[in-house]
Amino acid sequence: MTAPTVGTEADRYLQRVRAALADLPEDERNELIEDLSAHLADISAESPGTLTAASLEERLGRPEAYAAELRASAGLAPAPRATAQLRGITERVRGRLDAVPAYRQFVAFLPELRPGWWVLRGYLFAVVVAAIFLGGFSGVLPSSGSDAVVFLVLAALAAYGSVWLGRRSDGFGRWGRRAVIAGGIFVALVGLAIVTTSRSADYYDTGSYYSGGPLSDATDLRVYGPDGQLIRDAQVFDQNGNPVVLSGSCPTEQRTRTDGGVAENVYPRTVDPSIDPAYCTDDGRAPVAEQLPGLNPRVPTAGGVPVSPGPSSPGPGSPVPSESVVPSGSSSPTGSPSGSPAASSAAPTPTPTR
Amino acid sequence: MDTTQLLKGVLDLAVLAVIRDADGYGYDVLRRLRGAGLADVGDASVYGTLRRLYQAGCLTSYVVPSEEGPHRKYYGITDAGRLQLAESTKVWAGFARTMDDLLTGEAVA
Repeated sequence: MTAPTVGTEADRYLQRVRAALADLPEDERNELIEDLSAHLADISAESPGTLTAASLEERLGRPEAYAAELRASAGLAPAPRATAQLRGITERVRGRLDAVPAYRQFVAFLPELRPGWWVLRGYLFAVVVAAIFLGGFSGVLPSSGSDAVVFLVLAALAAYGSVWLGRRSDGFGRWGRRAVIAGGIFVALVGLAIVTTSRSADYYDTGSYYSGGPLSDATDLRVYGPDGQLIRDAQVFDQNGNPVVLSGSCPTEQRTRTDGGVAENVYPRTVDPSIDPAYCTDDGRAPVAEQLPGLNPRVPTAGGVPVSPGPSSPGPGSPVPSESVVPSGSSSPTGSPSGSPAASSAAPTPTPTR
Repeated sequence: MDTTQLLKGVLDLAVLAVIRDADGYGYDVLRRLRGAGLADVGDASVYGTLRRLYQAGCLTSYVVPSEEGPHRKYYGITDAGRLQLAESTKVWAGFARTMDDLLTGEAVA
């Protein structure tokens, strides 16, 4: 048989009929398509060069209609609907699975697991209720201790109720059983989501994001050197080496590190004078003082290594911002590690004007 | 009246009758049916009917190489096909007579 040339209207028509017969056994389909190939060749031989999609459809009808007529006259089953096709596939899969002994054993074992599922369902139901009416969760229990007691009582009651429901739901009608199954799936999904997301919150608490704890109110950090000079672009890390990234609305400049990473732990955040500094403070006062009083030299202790601020203190010629407190004499470059305690105590102890 | 509905019931008969006279390939059968007056017969219906009659054992088929066009699948009638045609012809004749009587009787009354 001569197939139509690929890419012609006749070929396109043929492919659409083939698609509409896709559910038939391959041998059957190939023979029908072969007949149609010859048919199309005869038609084009009759009117050479004038075959268009429109003329083909006028002659033969739409490809899908042609396929339907072919099925009907050849005594074949009509094209299955999508749902029937799906049902056929699931039945075939089930048939294959039933042939596997391990699968049959697993299915036979499933009823043994039902009481466990009932208890779990009750617990997860309690999780959902507690997440709505009590505080947050940390893992499988509410984070606060008193909530946990209430929760455990609630969970016990819910587990009891769930088992009660499980033992009776077989007696419910078809829709009743479906409602129980749907409710169970819903409770399981929401409950598991609550329990698992609360764990990821724990991770953040112990990680680099200071969303809670003593720093919870801080939105910015100011780091001053031993000389009392503001250190700009300080990268701040915690005791574990994690970057300290504060949350909050303080405008943050996007910074990158030389290794290509993004640095979110750069302080102070308000270095752009065009940004209103009050935006970053609670009380609206000017937040960043360029210069604060420096540190006195460390008093040497037995075995301790004295750490001197060194000559990095501002020299006499360095400009002193007007809002800074007058530095005490003890932070002068002449200060030695053996500075006298008397001098240190005599020095004024100014309070930083935040 | 739409003849396509009527054709559905008698297309087997018509196709067998055409092939009894002479073997033919699909498009040839189609043309002969149309030429005999069954203008409404559908392309797909004829090809489908040929296929079904062949599978039922009423037709044989053989391929004839062709020099100018495609190789042609010819159909010929079998003994089973002749038997079915004879039986169907009797049924059709009785049916047609009944319909004629019914329709003319009504027209007279």
